[in-house]
Amino acid sequence: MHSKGHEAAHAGEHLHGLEDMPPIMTHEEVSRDVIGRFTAVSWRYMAVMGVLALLFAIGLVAFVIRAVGGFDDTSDWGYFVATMGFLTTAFVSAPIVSAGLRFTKAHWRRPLARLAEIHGVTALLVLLMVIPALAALPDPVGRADIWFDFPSPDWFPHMWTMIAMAALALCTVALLWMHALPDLANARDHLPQGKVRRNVASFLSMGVIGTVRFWRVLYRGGLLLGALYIMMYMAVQTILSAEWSLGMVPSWKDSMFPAYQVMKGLQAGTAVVVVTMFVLRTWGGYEKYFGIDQFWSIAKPLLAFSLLWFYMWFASFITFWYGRQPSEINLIQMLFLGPWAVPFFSSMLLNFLFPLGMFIWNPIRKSIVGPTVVAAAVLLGALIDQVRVYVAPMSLNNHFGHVLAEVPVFQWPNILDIAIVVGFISGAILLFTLVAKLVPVVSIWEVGEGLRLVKVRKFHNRWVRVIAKSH
Amino acid sequence: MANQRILGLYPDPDKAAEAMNRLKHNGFPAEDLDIYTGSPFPEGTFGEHEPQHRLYVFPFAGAVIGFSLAMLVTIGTQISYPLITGGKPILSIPPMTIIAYEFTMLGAIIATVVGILFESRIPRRTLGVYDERITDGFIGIVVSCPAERGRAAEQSLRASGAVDIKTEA
Repeated sequence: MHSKGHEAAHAGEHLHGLEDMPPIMTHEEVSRDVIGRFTAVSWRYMAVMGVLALLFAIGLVAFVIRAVGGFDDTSDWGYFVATMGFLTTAFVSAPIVSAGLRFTKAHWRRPLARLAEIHGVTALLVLLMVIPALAALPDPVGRADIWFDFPSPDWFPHMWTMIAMAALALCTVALLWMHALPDLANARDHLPQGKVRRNVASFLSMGVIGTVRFWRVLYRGGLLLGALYIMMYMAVQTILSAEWSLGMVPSWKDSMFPAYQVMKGLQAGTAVVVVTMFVLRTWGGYEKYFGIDQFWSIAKPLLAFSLLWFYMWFASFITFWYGRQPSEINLIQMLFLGPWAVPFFSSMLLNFLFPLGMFIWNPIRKSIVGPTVVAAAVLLGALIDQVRVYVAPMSLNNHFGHVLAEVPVFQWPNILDIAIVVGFISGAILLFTLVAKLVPVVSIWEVGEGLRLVKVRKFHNRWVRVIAKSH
Repeated sequence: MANQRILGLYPDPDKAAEAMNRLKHNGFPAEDLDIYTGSPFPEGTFGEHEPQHRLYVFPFAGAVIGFSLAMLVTIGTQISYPLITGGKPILSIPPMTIIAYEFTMLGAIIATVVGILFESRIPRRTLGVYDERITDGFIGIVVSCPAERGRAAEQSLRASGAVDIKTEA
């Protein structure tokens, strides 16, 4: 099965444009290549797994030591909650990239949709992290609370937060699983008989054989689940913001803040996808799938999200600035200008100024390294920002009342905090590397579908790629 | 007499489309023909019968069930424990809204997953007549027909360039 896209490459005419064209493979070539890489377990993979597992184990030990110390002092749990916030902001938001690009039928999304959905599985880790984080919360009575003191049953404290997180985790697993069904069927068909992974793939593929009905339902079902995921993600970010940030600070009333957190999620989720593409391209052998097309195209929404970062922050900040109540002055000191000014301005630099300064230049957007460097900076900025918005509120001495009477001093992380932050982020990456051996990290069927819609044609004095719209 | 299912395997979409045309021309209704592929083709590529599904009903039904459950829980709790908070009515809408949103979404998500499985007709215990090359990009045309028409179906599939034919009784 040869794609007609090859014709141009063999035509022998030295016209402009052919050098920019990504290689056009056949469906069979993609299938063999991806399944081959999916099956292989190299020493490098094992070494990375080992390091990640070790770091995660250290993080778990630090967590246990912290838990033994009790949950009464909220300031002890600030960095734990900040890590949870970062994982939700960066990793759990990644499937929105895939869902959003499916809505817009972006052709270039095909190779990267799966890895974005795999990152969403981090929601399972966050679901577990929410339990101790909830235990660290002070009594909601007399404190601003999104549940309006609505009671949870004694047998299931904090039921409402847990249901929201569970719904998000269920949705992300479903989104990944449904879209992976055809590739699990591929693994079932092509992995050697008797292998455990073949049996697992066979079980998970649920007997998919690629009927017309299946494809029609999968297409629409995927869009529905994507829409539900986006709606649920916004709800979860709102709840996290309200529970561990807004609700911990007397007088902090800011309807923009949850939206700001969601927007940061979009930015950091996009950045995680970019960095993962770079890693898979450079060390995973997937350079045929993650080319200039993907990096150049995703750099544009990343720039847009960086601009929105500033808009969202400013819309929130200006309210307190003009309000000028004593409590709001303290709030500004706490969040932006006082002891937490360095994290804030670092975040401003890494999440807004640096992406803007870099991405206004097309040669930087149209490169592999440029978007990767910016994405790495965005992720670092997101982590610092989550520390600011969660650790500062958690470190307050008094979470009750109507006025913020004190400005908390900067809380440096101790050795346990560092182990928790590094360990749980390693845990999320470990989860990705494990799931990437359960389902192929590149969506074979989506890439295969795209191959049929692309042809290389001569257009006057150059070659152009023609992409069909099938809907 | 019982129906049998015959699979013709094609490496090329052009030949698969030709096979579909030939089968329909030879009196096999489109409803009795199915196409197995490793990735989706645009609707109507092979002149295939478009199956009807009711997937959209599932999230809607799930959302209605979830919302109803949320109303039951929130109204029931507030009536059972009538605590006046902040001078607000016992049944105040804002706290119920957030919980209703959660339950509605949860119901919709669960129902959508069930809907995808049900409308796709999976899980399937056996693959039936199938070929592993389909996930490599080959196209399978499956004919369901009475056994006495099996030979005619097979001839149509072969005449269109099938590289392999498989039969399931």
